[in-house]
Formats: sequence, structure tokens, C-alpha cells
Amino acid sequence: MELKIENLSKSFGDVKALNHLSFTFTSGVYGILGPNGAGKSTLIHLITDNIARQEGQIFWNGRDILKGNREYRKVLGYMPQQQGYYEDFTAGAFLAYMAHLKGLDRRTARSRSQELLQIFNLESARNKRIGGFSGGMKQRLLLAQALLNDPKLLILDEPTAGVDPQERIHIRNYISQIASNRIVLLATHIVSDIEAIAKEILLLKSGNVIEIDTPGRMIEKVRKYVWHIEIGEAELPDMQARYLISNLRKSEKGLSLKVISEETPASAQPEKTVNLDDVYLYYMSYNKQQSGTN
Amino acid sequence: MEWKKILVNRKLSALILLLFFVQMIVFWQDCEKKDRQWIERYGQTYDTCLREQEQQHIDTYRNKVQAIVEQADAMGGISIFSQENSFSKRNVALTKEAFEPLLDIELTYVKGRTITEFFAFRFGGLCVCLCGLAVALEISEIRNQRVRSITFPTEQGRLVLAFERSEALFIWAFAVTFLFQTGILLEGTLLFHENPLTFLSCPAQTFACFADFPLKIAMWQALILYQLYRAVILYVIMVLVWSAALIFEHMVLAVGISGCFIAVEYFFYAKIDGSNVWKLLKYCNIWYLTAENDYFTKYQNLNILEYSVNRNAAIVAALAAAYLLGAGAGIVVCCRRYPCSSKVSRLQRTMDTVKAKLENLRGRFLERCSLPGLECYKVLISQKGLIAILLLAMLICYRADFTQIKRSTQQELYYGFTEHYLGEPGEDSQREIDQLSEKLARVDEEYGIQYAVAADAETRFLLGMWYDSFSQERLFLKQIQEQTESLKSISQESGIAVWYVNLHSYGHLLKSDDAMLNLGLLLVILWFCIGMYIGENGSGMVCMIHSSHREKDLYRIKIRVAVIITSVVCFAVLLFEIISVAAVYGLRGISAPVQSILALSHIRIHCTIWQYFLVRYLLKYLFFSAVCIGVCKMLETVICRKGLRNGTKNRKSV
Repeated sequence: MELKIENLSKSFGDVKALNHLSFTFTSGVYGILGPNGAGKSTLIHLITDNIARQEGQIFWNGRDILKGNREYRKVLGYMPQQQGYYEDFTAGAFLAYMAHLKGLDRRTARSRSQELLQIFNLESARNKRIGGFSGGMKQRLLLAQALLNDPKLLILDEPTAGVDPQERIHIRNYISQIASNRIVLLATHIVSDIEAIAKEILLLKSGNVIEIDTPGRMIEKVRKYVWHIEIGEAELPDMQARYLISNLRKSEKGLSLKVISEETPASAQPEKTVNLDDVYLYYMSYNKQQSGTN
Repeated sequence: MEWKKILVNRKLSALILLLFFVQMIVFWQDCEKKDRQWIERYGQTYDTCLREQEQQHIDTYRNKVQAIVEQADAMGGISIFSQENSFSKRNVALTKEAFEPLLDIELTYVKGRTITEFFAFRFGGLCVCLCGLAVALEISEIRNQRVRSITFPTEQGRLVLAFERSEALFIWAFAVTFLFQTGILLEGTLLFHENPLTFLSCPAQTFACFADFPLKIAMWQALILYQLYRAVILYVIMVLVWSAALIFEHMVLAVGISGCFIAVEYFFYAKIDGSNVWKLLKYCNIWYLTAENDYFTKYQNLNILEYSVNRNAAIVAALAAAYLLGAGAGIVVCCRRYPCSSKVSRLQRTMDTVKAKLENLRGRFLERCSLPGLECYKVLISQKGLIAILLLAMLICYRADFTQIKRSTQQELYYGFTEHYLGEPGEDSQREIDQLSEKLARVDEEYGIQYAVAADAETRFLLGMWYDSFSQERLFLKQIQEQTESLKSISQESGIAVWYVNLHSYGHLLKSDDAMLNLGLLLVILWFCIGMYIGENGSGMVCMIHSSHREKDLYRIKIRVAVIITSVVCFAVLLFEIISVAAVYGLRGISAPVQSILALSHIRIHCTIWQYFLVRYLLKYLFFSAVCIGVCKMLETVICRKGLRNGTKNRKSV
């Protein structure tokens, strides 16, 4: 089971949204990280065949997805970033509608809907209008519809946006649990979600892949550039002008800063706790570029 | 600022514009229908008849006013009117006071059908009222409690905001009234090719519909006064709905209670007739004020506690009381009611329970629906297709004319003849025609002889009257002889055995292709088609549908559902057309050859009348179905596929 992307490009007018991307996804969770306009959604839309590609190919198990489009879409589960709903439908009706579209028979659709509504704590809202749902409930329902057909390729665009921490952890764990026998592409701004479950992370910036690696290795690579500094409050403006500050908190001596810098700042100590936020900041600020292939 | 909220609300602005154009179309259609019916029923144009009526009104106006004044003086001597402070006495005195200044008014005929039609047009008032209700509900913000929870804690978010909202209602009441009414007046002048300056500058009483109008003012002043009057009425209604919406804080409940109130008002309006005491409820009545225009042009006094009061003064007092009640309640609720109240009333609790049960039922039902069923639900409920059907049904009812037509003697003879001799022209029918012909020839002969020997003018006049009494039979004879001749020549030319059929009935069926109804049908079909696709785009579902493997099946199902709904609506409308004609004229001889209808004698195919109409209606149905499929296909490409930014080029290129 593999999804192979070869030399994929897409432009919108003069803007290069994706620039010759090549990569092969195998089973497991892949995190796609990047600032707004980095090309995450474009990549997802190309993989889901929601927009036309201009260059390159995408293969599902060795077959171009456009040639075996119907078969490909049978194994595809997609949760878009935009909350798309018929507000007048109930949660159960919406899942039934999507199950029809995914070609599930009535009995399977019913049992699968029941199961997913239970998993995502939506059972009590089964017969309620979607228009009255909170943002988090809508997000969970979108995730449930993506999983209806037990997809081999699950594409999730911002799955935990607007969801409370408890539910977020629950969703994260569930994705991790089901990822063993499928490919999960997870695009998000919430870095901690990816850090916990991603097998590999693609860092995108301006349509280019600037880094692909496991979260652990990425952290190790960046660790040497993350510093801990204690300063007085008066020094803060100067530090902000000179360095990239990842974290700032009050301490007994004044302020305790977590600084990201390739040069060693004066009176700085290496930071012990480095996380993916620091990695993200480092790559986005220092504009590291990678070929984008593996 | 509050009034601008309506301008920036695209849906509401669109609704106001839609209703504006609907009333313009209905007005135009009404005038056309009236013209057609007058020619059909009375054999002369409505303009001619109106001119005669107006002229007669001008000729008799002074005498009429004189009579009112003189009658008032004369009544003083009658015992029942002599009791001091009684309603009867005051009524006569008040009427005299109102009409006395009109004695010296000079009237000359002015062409002004626009004014007559404007004051006879009732539909416009309902459209204005609907706009007012929509604006009032929008300004109350009951559908957007979150905004209220932001505005309520601000410095000016209570009393000042409440006043601003009531001011916004005031602005919109006037704006909507002026827009709609001026639109109708302008349309009228264009339709009837009239110069507005001529009829606006003459006294209001120039027109028959203003015969009872007691103010001595020019027509332009009367029109401004009327518009102000209507705007104030609308404003009061809007204030009442606004306060109901704020008090109940529930859209359905507010609309329901407003609906019940209107229903009660309609009951008073329709049922109260006799007693003067109860007439107050009939005339100071929301339904009456929005649906009728004669409260403005007609003079009437009401009996309130044995004291005679002019009806217009009573209406103003009732409106003022209703306004104070509505505005006061609205402002108090705006200032005092917390947007996130922890108290739940018993009514609210009951409603929530009922709502939850209904939602449960709906949810279960929807889950059992198939894909076409869900598409039907989407287009009928989510996209408000049911409202479109309801509007079409209202239009059908509005256009329906099941009134029994008054037939002339000629028509009675013709209907009787075609009914009795239904079938091919034979010896019996010819014998009757010949007998009538001979009878009329004898009348002509007799008339000639008697006229020659008539001694004086009176005898000749009476003779003329006697001769004219056979004119209807002469017209009938001419008509039936022409039809017989035509049938014989068709029979000889084509060899088809054509029948006597009632040409009025089938002629009406041929003409009953009501343009307004067809337009309504087309709009409803477009509503369904657009609703079917625009919903996908608006809800952002397109990309999810696109990534599912039954996408193409879904689009096929959408077209199927649209065609099924179109078919049902089309058949309902066609059935209505046939029933409305059959109810008034009857459809005897439907199995006769189609050439029996003289207008269709050129058809060279052998078929019966019912077969012809079946094909005709089938073609009409096919046309609407083709429009439906075409629009669906176009929208599928434009909205669902192009909406994905070149989304389908991939699959086509492979």
C-alpha cells in the first residue's frame, strides 16, 4: 500500500502553490506542516483530485489515480478544512447521505454510523440538526464521515481545529490507533498533534518542501540552536530585535527566554526541552530548503 | 446605523426586490386580464366602459353632494333623527359637515385609468406587508442572539439601541411603501399611455373611486396623503411584530402568534357586517387596512358608544394605541431582557420538548431515506422549495376564475344548440337553423310593413324596440350559420366528418395558456434547479462529494429528482388549467375531430380534440422538462465542477 507523488506542481496565476514535489507515503501517519499559503491545502486537493494538476503524477499502488479514479475514491476518506454541511440535516442523516455517496449498503452504513457516532461522542446528537452543533461537534462529525468507508487513504485537513483538549487527545489517539494499516495524511497548525503521532513530517514553505523527517530526528537536528537565557525586563526589546524568541515567561531574576539562534547568544545555556514548535519556528525563520524527495 | 443592516443583508434586499417585481408583474397581468375579460363578457374594452362610468360620475357628482346636504337638512324633521346626541343625528350632521365644502367643486373628465387601477389593486398592499414583516423580524435579531449578547453589555446597547431600531423600522416602513406604490403608479402610466401631470393636478373627486372622498384636495395631494397613511399603518404593524418577536424570542412562535392575530383580524373583517358597535372591529382592523384601499377613499362614520365618529379618525386612534403598545413593549423588552437568560419559561420548556420529539422523528425518517429521498428533502426543505410550491399554489388560486359567467341570450342559444346537436351537422340541426332564419325573415318583413304605416314617432320607437328584441337571435343565427358553413367546407375539403362543438369552451382552453402561470411555473422550476446545486456550493460540500466514488450517480439522481418534481408541478398546473375551463364552460364533444374547432381547421392530421390537447400539453411538459435538465446540467458544470477550480480537467484528459 503506497501513495507515490512524482514531480507534482501547481500554480494559481503567477503564484506557485506547489513546486515539483516528489514523495512516497506508506502506511502510518504523516504530518504536513507549514504556514498559511505554504501549499498544504493544494497538496491535499491534488491528492483528493479536487483540483487539476499541471505537472507530475500521483500513483495509488502503482496506478495513476486518474486512470483508476473510481477505485481510488473507494479507498479514500477525506475531511476538508472548511466545515461543509447541510445545516438542516441531522447528524445521522448526514452520515447516511455520505454513506450513500461512498457506496455503502444500508445495513453497513447504519452500523458504521452508529459505531463512529459512539467513538466521537456524538450519539446523543444523532437526531439533532447540524445547524445547532458547536464548532467542535461539527469537526468530529466531519471526521466521522471521512472514516465511514474504512478508508485506506485518510486525508485530514485541520481535524482538531476548534475541538476541546480532551476530545483532541481522544481524536489524536484514535487516528494513531487506526493508522497501522492505512496511510493518514494530517495537515494542521496544531504542532503537538503531529508530534505525538506522526511517523514523518513534511515541512512546506511557499510551495516547496523544506524538510522531511521523523519528529524525533527533526528535534535532534534543531536542538543545538535552541537556547535558554535569563534576562532583566529592560533587556527584552533588544533581545526581541536580535533573536527569535520561542517562549517567554516570568522568573525570579526577571524573564526566562527560549531563544532560537544559529549563533550562541551571550550568557545562554542549551535548552533542555526542545519540541516541534521550536523546530517549526527554526525552519520557517531560517528558510532551510530541501530537495523534497525521499 | 440600524436601518443600513437591511441594505447590507443581501437575502432581505433580494426578497424586497423580488416582491417588488412580482407585484409589478401581477399588476400588469391583472390589467391585461381585466381587458380580456371585458371584451369576452361584455363585448367592449374596459377603457370604453370606464370612460362611460367616469363621465357619468362627473355628470352626477354635484347632484349627489347636493342630495347629501339636502337630505341632512330634511332628516332633521323626522322624529328618529331628532333626538339630541343620538348616533343617527350626529351621523347625518357629520356627513353634511364633511360634504358641504365640496358643493362648489368643478369636475371635468380626465383620462386616468392608472388611478382607478391603483386603488383597485390589493396585491401590492400584501407585498408591502410581507416586506415589512421580514424587515421587522430581521431588525429584532431573534435569529442572531450572539450579536445581541455583544451589543447588550455596551454603553448604548439598550435604550439607545432600542430607539434606533424603532427608528429603523420607521425609515423602512416609509421607504418600502413609497417604493412599491410609486412603482405601481409609474407602471400604470406606462401601461395606459397616460400623462401623470394631467390626472395628478385635477381634484381627487374627478375619479369615480373618489366619489365619497370628503377632502377638497388635488389628486397629487391625495396620493401623498394615501402613501403616508399606508406607511404609518405598515410602521405600526412592523412595531407590533418587532415587539412580539422580542417578547417571545422565538422566530416560529413570533410568526405563529402574528399569524393567529392576523387570522382573528380576518375573521372580524369577513364576518362582522351588521351592528354598528362591532363595525369598529371590522374597520380598525389590520387585515382590512392592508388588503383594502377603500378605507381611504370611502367616507363612513362609526357608532362608538352612541357617539358618531368618522371612521378615519377611529383608525388613526386605534393605530396610535397599537403603536404605543407595540413600541413601549419592544423598548422595555430590549432594555430589560437579558440575552442569555437562565430562566426558561414553561412555554419554552414545552416547546423544546415538542421540538426535540419532532427532531427525533425527523432524524429517524431521514436516516431511512435513500439518496433521491434525501435530495428531495434538501431541495424542498433546506432550499425552501416548498415555499416556491406554496407561492405557485397561491398564484394559481389568485389567477383562478371559477365564477359563473353571465351569458347573453345569444350565448345561451349557442350553448343550448351546440349541446343539443353535438355531433356532425345533420338534417335536424339544419331544420332548426332554417326555422329560425324563416322566423327572423318574417320579423323583418313585418317590421318593414308596420314601419311604413306607423303614424307617429312613438309608434316607430316601440316598433324599433320590438325589432331590437330579436337582435340576440340574429347574432346567434349569424354565428351558427358561419360555423355550419365552415364545417361543411372543411368536411368537403378534408373529408373529415367534423362536429358542432362549443367554440367558446375550446377557444378558452386554447387561450388559457396563461403567461403569468407559465412564468410562475418556469420560476419554480428554476428555483428547484438552482436550489439543488447552489446548496452544495454554499455548504462547502462540493469537495467531499467530489472525493466520493458515487459523485456521478449523485448528479444523475439530482437531475432525476428535479425532473420528477417538475413533472408533478407541471401536471398539477395543467390539470388546474383544464379543470378551470371545464368548470366554467364544460368540455362536451371532446372526442370530436380536432378540425371541429375552427381555429384548428388547418391541421391535416386525423385526431380528436382530446388527442390534440394531450399532445399540446405533452409538448409543454417536455419543454419544461428540457429546461429543467438543461439548467441542471449547466449548474452542475458551473457550480459543482468549476467551483473546484478546474476540478475535472484531469479525468477528461486521461
